[in-house]
Amino acid sequence: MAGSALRRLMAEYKQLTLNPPEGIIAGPINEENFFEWEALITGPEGTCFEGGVFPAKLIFPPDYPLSPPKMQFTCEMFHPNIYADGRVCISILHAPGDDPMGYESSAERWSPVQSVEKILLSVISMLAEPNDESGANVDAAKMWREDRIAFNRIAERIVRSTLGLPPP
Amino acid sequence: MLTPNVKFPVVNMSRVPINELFDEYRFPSGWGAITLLLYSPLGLILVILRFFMGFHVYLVASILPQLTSLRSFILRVMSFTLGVAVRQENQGNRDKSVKIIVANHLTPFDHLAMHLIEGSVTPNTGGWPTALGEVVGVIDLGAKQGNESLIQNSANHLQKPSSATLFAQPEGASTNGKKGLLKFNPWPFSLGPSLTSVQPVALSVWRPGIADITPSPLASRQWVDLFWFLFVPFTLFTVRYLPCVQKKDDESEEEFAERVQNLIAAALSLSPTKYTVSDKLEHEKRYLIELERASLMASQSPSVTSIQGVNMRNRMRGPVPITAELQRMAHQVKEVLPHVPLDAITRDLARSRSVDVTIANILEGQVAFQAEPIQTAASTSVPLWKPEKPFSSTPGSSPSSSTTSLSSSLDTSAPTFPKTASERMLSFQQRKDRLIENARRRYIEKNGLKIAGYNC
Repeated sequence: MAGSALRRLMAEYKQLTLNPPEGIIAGPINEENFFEWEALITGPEGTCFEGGVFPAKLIFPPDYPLSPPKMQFTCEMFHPNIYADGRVCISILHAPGDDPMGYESSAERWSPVQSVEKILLSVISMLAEPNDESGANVDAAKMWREDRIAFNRIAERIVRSTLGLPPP
Repeated sequence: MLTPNVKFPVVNMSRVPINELFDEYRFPSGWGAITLLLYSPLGLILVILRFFMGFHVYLVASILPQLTSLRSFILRVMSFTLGVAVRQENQGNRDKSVKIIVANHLTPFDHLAMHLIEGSVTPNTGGWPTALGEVVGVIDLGAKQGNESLIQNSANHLQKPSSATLFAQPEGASTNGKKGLLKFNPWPFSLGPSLTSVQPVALSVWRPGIADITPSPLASRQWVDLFWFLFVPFTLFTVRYLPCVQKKDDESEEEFAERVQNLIAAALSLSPTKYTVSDKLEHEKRYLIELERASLMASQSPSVTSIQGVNMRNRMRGPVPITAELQRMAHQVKEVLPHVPLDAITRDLARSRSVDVTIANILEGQVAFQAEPIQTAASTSVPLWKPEKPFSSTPGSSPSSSTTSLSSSLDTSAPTFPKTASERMLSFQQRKDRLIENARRRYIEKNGLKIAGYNC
């Protein structure tokens, strides 16, 4: 089982190395363990996260691609759909039926047809358009709804910190 | 019947595992392998010399009349130069009136040894060419038509006055002569009421330690065995005559066969087993399949750092027949890409002959197919796989659809996918650093920041 997961991960790694979507990079942190990846995603333009390069860790199960990987940002994040510890709450990381947030959206769910690239692109979309019904981070969701200016200020600070720049 | 001081290992017959009856390896290991290596130049010269000498022996054997002591003597001398030596033991037990000799089976050339000392003939079961066979004591007794015709023809042969002694090896196939005997086929014990006595013979074979090559390992071919016969200094057959045995009135042919099997086994300190020729063939088949599988597994182990190398090796191997092997590979691909239909996988595998290449082909969109619904995702509608742009998201949600003129600086692609893990990790690290650096520069430019060290 792990052998086939390994083949698939290798194939996806190759695909992402030769043909990555712009502003995205992902691969195993150390090839000794092919099941733990690091990804960098760039904040989408025209949003409060624009320009930031956010690092995240992807942990793959041994039965990948039957089960989805887990994704966790390793930098500070402030977003309605990201837990305080960096874990990402997004439908593509859950298999159908597995519904931890208690809502069954029509959005894409995990299936072996999905891929690391699709996850990362979905997360970028999520950064641009938070789903404030899912309260992974209640404070962030509340601020996103009620005080967008304060939210944007926090986001800008985070963007700068990911780039190693001093806060505004 | 049994006295305690008689070694008679008729213990639990199933105790000997079938694989112990045969040797899998022809060549010795350790010191034996080194002496064999040193000996091999001489061995090769011997093979060439003996090959040509063989013609002369063949001619002499054809010219000289059968069953004369002169022929027997000349043939034995010449055979010795060919590397076949025969020693007789307990000749007092040899009863010339008994026309059936029964022995265990060790090599495809046992009958040659018997032919040299007894002038005996043996039914052709090993596929000897007729012209060659008669010279070395092989005659056609209809063994291929089954036991009945073999028994009939053998009986007819022995009815003839001054007929040659019949040499029978009722095991039907060779063993290594170290653990046990195969079950005796009752045909030489069923030749009619006038032929109820047999002369049991315990055969053993020995080769000098300098070239201790197994005469007939599992799944070996007759002509390969012949080559090594000519290669080794000599092969010594020891023929030990056991007292003649007669079938008892109340004994069936099968019981008689078993009794003789026990006698010969006891003389050689072997176990008589219930395994038959077909058990050996079955074991042989399984052994060959395992060998094949082992070599395939060795060439296909999914080692991350050497996937490229494996691809090369797989490509260089011969064509894979559309068989179980191809199906096995298809299932491996299916495990990785469960949504791809098997027939699409098999089609590409037939061309690529490699699990990894086919996976890459599918991921790169070179294989057109309709995605199959997967059990775990059965409730959702599975989108059609887009071969022209694999793993791409829907255009609306992609941030790359709103790229600017600065976009090229955020390109993270590598020109090639390095072959070794360390190169890949280095390239990954460099591309990460470059992405952060470019993003930082872009951010500074766009926001018109004035930060020391970052302004151009």
